[in-house]
Amino acid sequence: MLGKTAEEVGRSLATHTLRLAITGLSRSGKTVFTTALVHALTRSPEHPNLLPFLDIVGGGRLVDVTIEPLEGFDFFPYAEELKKLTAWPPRWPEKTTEMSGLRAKLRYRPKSAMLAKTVGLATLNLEIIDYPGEWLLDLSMLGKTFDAWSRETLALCNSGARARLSESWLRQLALVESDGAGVDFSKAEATAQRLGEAYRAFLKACAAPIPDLKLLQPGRFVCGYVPEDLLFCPLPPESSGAGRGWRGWTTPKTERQALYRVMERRFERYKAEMIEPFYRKHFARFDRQIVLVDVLTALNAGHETFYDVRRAMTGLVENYQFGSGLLGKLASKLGLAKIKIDRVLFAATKADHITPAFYGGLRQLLEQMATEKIGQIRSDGAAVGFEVIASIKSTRNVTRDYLGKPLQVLQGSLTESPDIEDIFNPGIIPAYLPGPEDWDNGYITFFEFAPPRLMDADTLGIPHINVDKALQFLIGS
Amino acid sequence: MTDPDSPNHPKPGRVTLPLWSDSTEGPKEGPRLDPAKLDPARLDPASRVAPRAEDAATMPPPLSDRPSIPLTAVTAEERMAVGSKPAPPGHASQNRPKTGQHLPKPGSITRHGHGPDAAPEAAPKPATQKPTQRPFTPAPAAQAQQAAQGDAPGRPRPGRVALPRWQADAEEEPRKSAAGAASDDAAAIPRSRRGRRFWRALFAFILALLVYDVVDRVTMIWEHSPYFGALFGFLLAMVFVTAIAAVMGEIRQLRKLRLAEVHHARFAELLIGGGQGKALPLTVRILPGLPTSEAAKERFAVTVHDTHSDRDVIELFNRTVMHPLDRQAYSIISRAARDSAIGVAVSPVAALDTVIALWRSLKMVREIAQVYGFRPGLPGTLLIARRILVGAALTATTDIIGNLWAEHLGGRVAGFLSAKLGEGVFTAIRVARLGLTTMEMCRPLPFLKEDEPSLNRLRKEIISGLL
Repeated sequence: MLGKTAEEVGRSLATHTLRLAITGLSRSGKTVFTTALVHALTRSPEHPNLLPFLDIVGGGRLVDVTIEPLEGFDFFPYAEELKKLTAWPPRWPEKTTEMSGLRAKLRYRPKSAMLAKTVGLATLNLEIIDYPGEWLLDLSMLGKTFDAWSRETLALCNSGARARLSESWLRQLALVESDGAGVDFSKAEATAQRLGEAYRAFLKACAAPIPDLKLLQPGRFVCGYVPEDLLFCPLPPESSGAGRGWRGWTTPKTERQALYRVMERRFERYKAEMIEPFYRKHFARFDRQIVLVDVLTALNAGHETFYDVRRAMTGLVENYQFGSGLLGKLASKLGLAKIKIDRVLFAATKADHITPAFYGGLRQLLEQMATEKIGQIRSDGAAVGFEVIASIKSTRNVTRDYLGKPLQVLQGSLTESPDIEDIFNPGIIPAYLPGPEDWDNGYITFFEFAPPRLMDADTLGIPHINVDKALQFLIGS
Repeated sequence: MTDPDSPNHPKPGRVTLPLWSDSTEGPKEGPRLDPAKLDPARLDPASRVAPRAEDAATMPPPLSDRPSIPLTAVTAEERMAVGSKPAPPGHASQNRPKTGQHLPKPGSITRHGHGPDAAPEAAPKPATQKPTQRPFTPAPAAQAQQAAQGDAPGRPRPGRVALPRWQADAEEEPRKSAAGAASDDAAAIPRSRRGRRFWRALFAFILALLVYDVVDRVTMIWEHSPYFGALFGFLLAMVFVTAIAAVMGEIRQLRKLRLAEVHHARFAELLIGGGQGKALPLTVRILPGLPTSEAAKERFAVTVHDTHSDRDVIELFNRTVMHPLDRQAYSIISRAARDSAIGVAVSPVAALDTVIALWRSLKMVREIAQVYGFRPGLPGTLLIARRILVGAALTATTDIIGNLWAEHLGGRVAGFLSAKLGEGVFTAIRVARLGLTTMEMCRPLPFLKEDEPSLNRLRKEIISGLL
């Protein structure tokens, strides 16, 4: 009797739960990362060489790993995704727009010999949750009024590539006046709906592979489900009351106010019904967070997209500075629970698309993308790390002679021709934030590689780059 | 390895196979190249700006449009010509003082200032070779490589007019330091001479004490009974002779091993270099000579990847290959410490203590060296030899002092015993310390921070061995 209780106490001492959230702006490889991660974890007790830099694996202490569904979440379709990746021809997974999760139960021998003698095996319940990064971007809307948000968003919509794409929506906005909408309340609702749809179409156009912009709010318009009656769009602040005309905006004062009020109500409802529940139910409960960033595609897409991604990233970083950070203040103001995330890792994905000589440069660039002031995010809040990873290594590094000197190049096959393997010389990673002129010389060019043959993944494992180091940073302690 | 900074880093693109290495001669014998690739205009950034600007907004251009590597097609003259073209005005002289890195013009394939061979080429036209042309900073790894190639970051290209400050400094430096050294020496020499004289005197004193101790002991027994005296003296002489023979044997065996310090220094360099791709060949070179189990070697081979950085490779090597050896070394040290403690405690004369300590320490050093398959280099050997000799001398002194103390106390058994035990413990600690130093000297890889050897660590290893 007594022995049993002692055993139970020991077991409870040796059981930990960690909730690891995996996110990233769309097409950054969340699904691939999650699949590869779970696969490596389940294979690593027999093949410790798969994750050598994860201490419990490298030290040979991991005994077994079981995968279970996680209560309250859709089960991450691990088996299906793995099948797709290991099939021939292999395909990268489809874009995910919803949240899903699973629990990996890791049983391992504790590091200290004392503990190993007394409790035997320890258990780590690693709850892995995968959600779209756009939802994370939305968090910054929590602290803003409709007025402030509209100002920012409209200014953004009139700059760069957005100006071209937002034309039709802005024209509709300007035309609202001519069909006399806004006077009576039901018409204002209908107008708001129409404008909201136009705005959503604009955001979706921004998110398309060209120009692949990332700083899109509200993110659920692009990624995820939004009730139709929650669509809204930013309105010029002048329309809330008396003001000068804006871009030919001449709706009578009262009508503009009616529309404005409808939009504002929708905005507040979106915050209360979409963002806050996510914050309360999920975000505040995460322990660790990994944010995947596809730096190479951002670089490929040109100057504007790159800096758009950077702005989105700095916005994300702000979320984690809870000491003096935005969300900390906000949480106390709104009476929400404080977040407990104490480790955040930013990972530049697709490291296999460049040669190893540039990993250092990519890491440095990632760091610079995330920080506006150096050292700003290390001082308080969560520990922030940076890593260069490839969930699935789809190329091989080979050396060729170039002008009498050895040159590292990549061997792999491109996505458009997955069965032809060839040798490619990828571009150069600028080790600082590049200016517009740096795109002129053609060095910033990266290829999209198809997944490698993974038919023997079960015996050999999926080759990766630094996923183990990322894990060590996140769950190693 | 790639030198990404070098101006002849090719444009990104599909690499036409096969690539060949006799690059300076052009494609006379080699596979035919597309004439388009020979076009110098393709290499000139000015002609590339327009299409690129459009491409930049979109995804990478279709394959046929992608820039191909100009490979070897351009002769030296053409390269010169391309290299000396004035840069397009649009993006000239974007100097970024932050990086302090002078980089070559985009697309140019002339080699500027890499090593001395580039100097004559660059000297005649300094005006066209503005080193501030391309603001690309190479990755840190690349910087390290570059530094290794003797082209330090921020180093001016040949042909610049103004003598940079550091160069002037460098010229002044030797003079200054020579003068400083001279003045230092003037003060230092007498001091060090005095020190050396002191140590010599001390050594002679201890030697004299030892001889006196032996002679005293033997004569004491001789007086008691000449037969016993003769026997004792004979036995003692035999022990001395065998012990000295053993010491010589140890030294001979040690000399057969390879030098550790060469690899040690290379690995230490790679650890701080932050590079990639250099540690793996090195580990592959030393791996066969290491007496690790085949399983451990196999494990290392399947774990390590071509994408691991040098630091990663070294860490993995440490973990999979070196740690089992470290454990063996720790057990050798603890055994040696125990043996010499017992030996010192039971030996009757101080001189024998010395010889025992000397022999046991040397044996330990040899065993540790054999575990790693490497021997310490000359500085390491000198350091270890000094430690051994000082250790032996200290053992002798403590023994004599211990004896005196015990006699002074009236030769009681307990007093004698405790003095002997104290000597033993003292010797054991000295031997253990020596063992740890030897480990560091013999290991072909430097210790990483987390597994640096210490007495504490030794204790842990012993305890975990017991569990």
